[in-house]
Order: sequence, then structure tokens, then C-alpha cells
Amino acid sequence: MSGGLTSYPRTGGGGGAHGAQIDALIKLLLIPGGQPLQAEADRLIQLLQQAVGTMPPQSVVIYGKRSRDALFVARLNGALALARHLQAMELCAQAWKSIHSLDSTALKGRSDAAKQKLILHAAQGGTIQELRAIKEEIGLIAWLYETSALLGEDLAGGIVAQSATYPGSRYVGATDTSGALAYLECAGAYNVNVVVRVAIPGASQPLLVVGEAKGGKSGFGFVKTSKLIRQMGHIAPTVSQNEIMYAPSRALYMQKAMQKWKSGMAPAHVAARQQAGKLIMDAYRSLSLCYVTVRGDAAVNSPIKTSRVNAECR
Amino acid sequence: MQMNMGRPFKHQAMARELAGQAVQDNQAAFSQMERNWNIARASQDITVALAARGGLFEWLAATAILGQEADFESGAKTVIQWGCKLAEAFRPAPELLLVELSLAIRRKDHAARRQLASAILKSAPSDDFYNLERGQSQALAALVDLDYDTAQRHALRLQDAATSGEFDKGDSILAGAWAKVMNKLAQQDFRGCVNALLLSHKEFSRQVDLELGRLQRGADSDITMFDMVDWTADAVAQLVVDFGYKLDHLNKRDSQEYGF
Repeated sequence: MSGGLTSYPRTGGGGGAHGAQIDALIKLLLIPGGQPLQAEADRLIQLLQQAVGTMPPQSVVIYGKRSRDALFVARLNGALALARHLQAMELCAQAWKSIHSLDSTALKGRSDAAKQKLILHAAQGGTIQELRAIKEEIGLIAWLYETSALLGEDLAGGIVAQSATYPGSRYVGATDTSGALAYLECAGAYNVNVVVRVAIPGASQPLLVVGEAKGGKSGFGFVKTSKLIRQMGHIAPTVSQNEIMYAPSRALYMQKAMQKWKSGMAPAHVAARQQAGKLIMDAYRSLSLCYVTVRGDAAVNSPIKTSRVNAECR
Repeated sequence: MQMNMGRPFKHQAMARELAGQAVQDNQAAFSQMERNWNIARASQDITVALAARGGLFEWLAATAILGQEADFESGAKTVIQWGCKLAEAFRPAPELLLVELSLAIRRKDHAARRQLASAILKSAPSDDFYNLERGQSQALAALVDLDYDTAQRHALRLQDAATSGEFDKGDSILAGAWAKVMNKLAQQDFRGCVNALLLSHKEFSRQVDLELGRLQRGADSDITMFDMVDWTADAVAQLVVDFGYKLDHLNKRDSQEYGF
């Protein structure tokens, strides 16, 4: 399972003794067989935390990603009672953001365009609705930046760059080389906001990152708890957009998107919406779902400010 | 065994189409439950187990809608077993054992019935998140326990909820209907209970058909297979028979009209 990882530094990549220990734990975590490996996982997170102060951020990102992969594989193998991959992602994010400002990523073009729109809106006195749309775009840019940081890779230079607007819709999506949905920005009601599917080497399931982006000061909304969601343990009468259960609650709508279309007749964005719904339900049940909420805002002539509000995994 | 009191929906074709897909989509549910259970036990986190159980419910409800008797029977047995394990290992809120208790009653699995009812009655959650399924499970458990005073108390609580506006519109109507069903059964008024049950199931079907109709028109709906089975109604119909109301030969009209 370490195939394809040869380009990563082993020791000497700024990792030193720490790096060697991290490598050894990663190797252990990747052994299949379902042996309990919680102590190893906890120790790995500890070492990563120490690495933040001692290694250059580039190395923390590399070790963070490799640790994430191993912790995710161990989780899916049933070797961990408590998932730890999200913690590795959070440590990776901190380091990644310290080396990549938003304007140094492939998001710069999109970010400049949004900021330009904001200037024009102020100069020409646009409507509240127009301002809201600009803020929404800023929210999405912020989400992509924060999620790129969690994943340790510039999404806008990868899968998002390959995405396109589906004809006749406001959905934006991309598929991987095998034709499976890999990225989706949803438009309209009864949807999650964004879905990113990340292939993890050696894992039986992809890591599915789903999220909600908020622009400006807009608050997180609430939806009604349906009966199946309640049976899944969410007893409160409403679900907030800021909690992980929001993803399956929307997936219940999304997975039936093609219902009214005769087979093969549904437009591409409808098929993508349905596929995303099924991916979310699958990921929630197989414990490979990560839910991320982010806020982004900007004033005229100032850079976009981003902040991660919540990150949860199941 | 027949579910939904043997009555098809108006949009039965749509229900069957969704059920066919749900059987496909939830093939992995049983193995997921097995794996998630171990993780849930190790971490003492019930939500990990409940995540997988959601898939089991969808699969089971789909086989009920499709009338796949053998699959449903074996699936119901498995679901009851998991329910008993959940009750033992965690202290789930009463509503989280409603399906299992209902199925145990239907299958005349007396050991499971007793265990689940006692777990439901022992649980004392805060009243903040009171909901229809909780009221149903508490009243049902009390009836299984032959504690008619407690059953009436829970029926009364449901009646309160029906009129106070603490539920949404659909659940308020159902809560009122269910309060009557449980109350009549607690009073040993079998005839009255069966009549109330018919009304409540009619309302249940109306609400399901409303959502199926939305899908038919191409609108959005979050209806699930789980929502399409009136789990509690079938259990109460069984209890009425268990309590000695002989629908089958004493009253021809009952057996024809009610499907049991």
C-alpha cells in the first residue's frame, strides 16, 4: 500500500527522528486485518502535533496527508474505535494555509473576479439580490480554499479546474477518468452545497467531503428532521446546516432526482445530483463522510477572509 | 406477513419503483451493520450503529412494499436481533426501538417483545424532543406490558401533542389518531380500537400518497421507504388479535375490510 508514495520524503525530508516514527506508525496502520490500532493512531496524531513546531510546514503537509490516508484506511478496516483522519487533516490545513495564501492558489482568478464584481456593485449601486449572489460566490471560494487546506492540495488547480457547468442548469461538476462523479456544486433547493470525492490509496471507499459555504453574514438555516433521520439518531426536531446530519437529510431528496425521467432521458445535471445523493448516503453509512462548513466574506478593495466553521466526520 | 394492513397506496406503482431501487441501493446494509456495530461498541457511539441501521430499515421496508415475503421475514428477524443488542448495549431513546418492537409483536417473538418493551419503558428521556414515534413506542410498550394505566397516560400525552402544535401538521393529525387507537386498546375497547386504527392508517396512507404524488409530478420529496410502512399499525392489529378479539370468524366484515 505504500506504492505511489515513494516521492514522499522518508526521513531527512525535514522530518528527522519524528519522520521515521511517523513512517513506522503509518506502516502499522495500513496493515489490514481489523486488529485494534487506536493507540497507534493516537500516537500518530501526537507526533503530528509535535511536528507542527519542529518541521517546516511543507513537511507537515506531506506527513499530514500520508497520515490521513493511513488513518482513513485503518478506520474503514474497522481497526479504530475513534476516527482520527480528520485531526490529521486539520493539522495539515493549518500548515498548508501558512504556505498558500488564497491569492497564491488557482482560486485567484475566481477570487479576483468576485472582488471586481463587489467593486462594481458598490460603484453602480446594485440590488441586494445581486450583492447576495456575489457573497454566495465568495462563500464558495472560501469553502474551496479551506477544503483545499484540509486536503493539502489546491482543488482549484485540480478537479475544480476540470469542472464545467452542466448545459441548461447552474450545476457545476466534473467526473474522474472512469466517468464517476468527482465534484459537484449544486444549485437550487433541497441540495447540499458542494461535494468532493477524494480517492484514498488502499481504501475500500473514497473520502467524500461535503459542505456548506456561507457568504457574508448569512446564518446557517434549519430543516425539519425526517423520520428516517430521527431513526439515525438525530432526535432534535430540526437539523442545522452546520451539522453533519444535514448532508444525509438533503441526500434523501437528491437520490430521487431522476424519478420523473424515463431511463436515459434525465439531463446530465439531474443524473449528477442523484449520483451525489447516493454517494452521500453510502458515505454516511460506511463512515467515509466528512462534512465541512465555511464562511467567506470580503469588503470592497480588501482580500477575501475565510474561516472554517465546522468539520465533522462519520 | 402482510404489511400496511394489506392496503396498497394510490401511487403504488411509484412506491414499487422506489422500492426496487432501494433494494439495490441497500444491498450492503447487512454487512455494514455488522462492521459498524463493532465500531459502535468499541467507541460507545450509538450513532455509528444507527447510521448502518438506516440502510437496514430502507431495505426491509422496500421488501415489504414489494411483497417479498421470504426476504422480509428473514430481514425482520435480523432487525429485531440488532434492536435487542442496541437496547442492551446502549440506552436508546424509546422511539429508536419502535420498529423492532412493532416487528417483534407481529412475529410473536415474545422474548424480544418483552425485552424491547421493558427497555422502552425504562428509558426516561427529557420531554424537549418529544415526537410521534416516541408516543407510539411508549404506548405500545405499556400495552405489551399489560400496564393499561401507563398506556393511557402515554395516549393522553400524544393527544396533548396533537392539539398543542408541538408537531408539524401531518404528525399532529396522526398523533390525534394514534392517541385514540392506543386509548381504546388500553380500555379493551377492541371494536373502537380497530375503527380508530383504520382511520389512522387512512391518514398515514394519505400523507404517503401526497409525497409520492409530488415525485410523480417531478417535484422534490425526501420520502423514504421507511416512511412508507405503517410499522405500528400492523403491530396494533396483531395485539388486538392477541388480546382475544377474534376478527376472523366473529366478524366477517372485519377480516375482509381490515386485511387481518
